[in-house]
Amino acid sequence: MSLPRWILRTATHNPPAPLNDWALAMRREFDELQGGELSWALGCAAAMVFARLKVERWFWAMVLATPLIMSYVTSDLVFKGVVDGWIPREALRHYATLWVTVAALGAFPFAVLIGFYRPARALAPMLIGGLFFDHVFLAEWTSLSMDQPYLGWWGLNATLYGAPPFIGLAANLAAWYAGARTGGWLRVARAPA
Amino acid sequence: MQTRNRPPSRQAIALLSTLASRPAEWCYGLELSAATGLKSGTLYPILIRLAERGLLESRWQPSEHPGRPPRHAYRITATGRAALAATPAPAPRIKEAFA
Repeated sequence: MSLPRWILRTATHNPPAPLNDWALAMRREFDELQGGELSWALGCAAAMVFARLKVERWFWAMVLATPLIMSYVTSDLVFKGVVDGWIPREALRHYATLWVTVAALGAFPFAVLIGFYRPARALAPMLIGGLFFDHVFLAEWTSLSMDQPYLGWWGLNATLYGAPPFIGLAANLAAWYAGARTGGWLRVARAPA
Repeated sequence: MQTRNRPPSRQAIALLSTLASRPAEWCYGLELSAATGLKSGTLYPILIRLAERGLLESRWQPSEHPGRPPRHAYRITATGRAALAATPAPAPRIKEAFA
């Protein structure tokens, strides 16, 4: 597949319902082009991005705001949990238990809410929420809770949730994806037949 | 989708004028792009907006090339013609005014 076609396919993939015809129209016109495929594809991609933002502005606002809100909620819950004793301090020293704690108090329930709001939109919450949340949350976590500069987190000995960064990141993305899918499933299951 | 009733832009007027010059014809996106000089990144947002406001209608037309899938085609509506008639002529661009 050529680069312009890939750009157009990606931009018009899984559009919101009001843009279905427009996404297909862009693809069909692309098939008729006799040149200038790249500029046509880039223009269509830009048009689709803005149209999606307009049609789904509340969804995107929610996706972008959630990691910020979540970082504070989760930090507070984890902190209070440790102080009040319902989260064993020792649990936060091990990758698996730290990740389960953070996922259960943050990524998963928030992703469920987003998935419930917009079923079949699991990818965006996963990527934006997962990647953004890691940065916001870990920046705060490392600087406030561990008294380390955030950038000190990176380097040869860097870890994410106490695991190698790739594993930590994959685990976090998985929590987001599973949450968004679960939310979507709950929405569909709840809808009248 | 909610729409605001902003006056049509210069490009939107150009697009409506092109469609109004062929009121009975269904025009494809590429034809409109060639006629108005609008690139896809400008053309489609305008088409979407004009369709939302009921100033143009769209339908799927069989492609002129056999074996190809249908294409989305556009035609101005009576509302579009009325809106175009009610739109004052656009002011010349600064460059054109001082040329």
